[in-house]
Amino acid sequence: MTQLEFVNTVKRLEDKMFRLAKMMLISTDEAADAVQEVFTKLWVKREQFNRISNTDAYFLRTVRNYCLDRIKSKQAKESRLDSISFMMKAPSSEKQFETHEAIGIVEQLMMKLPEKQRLIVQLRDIEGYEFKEIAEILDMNENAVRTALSRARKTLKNALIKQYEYGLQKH
Amino acid sequence: MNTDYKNIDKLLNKYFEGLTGLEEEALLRDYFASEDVAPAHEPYKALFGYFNRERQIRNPQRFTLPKAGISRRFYMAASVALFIGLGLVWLLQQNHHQGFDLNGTATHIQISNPNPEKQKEAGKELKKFTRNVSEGLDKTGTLSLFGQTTQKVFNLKTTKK
Repeated sequence: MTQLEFVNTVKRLEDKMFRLAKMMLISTDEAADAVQEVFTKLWVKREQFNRISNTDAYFLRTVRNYCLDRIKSKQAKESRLDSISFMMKAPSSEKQFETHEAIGIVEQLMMKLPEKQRLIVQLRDIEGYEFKEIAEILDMNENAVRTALSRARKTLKNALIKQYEYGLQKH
Repeated sequence: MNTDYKNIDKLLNKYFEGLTGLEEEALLRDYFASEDVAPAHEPYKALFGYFNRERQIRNPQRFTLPKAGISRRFYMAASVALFIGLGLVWLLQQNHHQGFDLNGTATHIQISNPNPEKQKEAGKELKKFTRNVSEGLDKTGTLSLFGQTTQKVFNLKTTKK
């Protein structure tokens, strides 16, 4: 991969990689650092990329593996738990279903999903990847991705219906 | 509106089963971003709103390429060459200053008397001057003898009175 090709790939993927890192590490600073680290590592190895069939999947898988290592380290774990507890603070009940409050509820519901399901929803519904690519990024087979995605979406659907009915009862 | 609603309903069921394609999911995204969301679909509006919000998030630290190894080596070599060059200039200046100090007098004479004929003339003038001075000194000797005798004459005259 030439320098220009690498720069173009960075431009195309850096926001996607940041969002994936943020979904895993929660902390914005940790996620931004993770993306920098991964790009620096990939830059050194860029001459080997000619053999890679799907650059997006390779770059995103590298971020995912890097974040898994970071989560295992004690320091990152502490910072992640702080961020999760900050995000899980309940919104005011009266305005629960006004748009921005409702989006906050979805965010909390996403955090309650198992990590793999959360990442699949992220890669499909936010980043718009095909099942094949998601399977490659997460080292899974396509059927397992479909099943996990369906489970995650149904969990979100049921929780949202409950929240909506609860909001109607309050009003 | 009814047809749209039914279509969306079917699409939503497919969506929650994980059976929709990317194009169908784009239709759902557009539908929930519009103002015409049916009341029955209201609970899912926030879900698509959340996806849309997350899609706007940007990396706050833009990646910059690390400087290549070759250019770093080049900069190092250039700074070493510059340092050596400056050192040489400084050494040459030091030597030049020392030579000037040692030969300073000679340089001054050469500058004030650059012509050898003029030097000879100056020598002659100098000799004439010294001869005049010595003649003058001899004359002062006869003058002092004259002074002594006149003093004696004056002394005799005053004692006689």
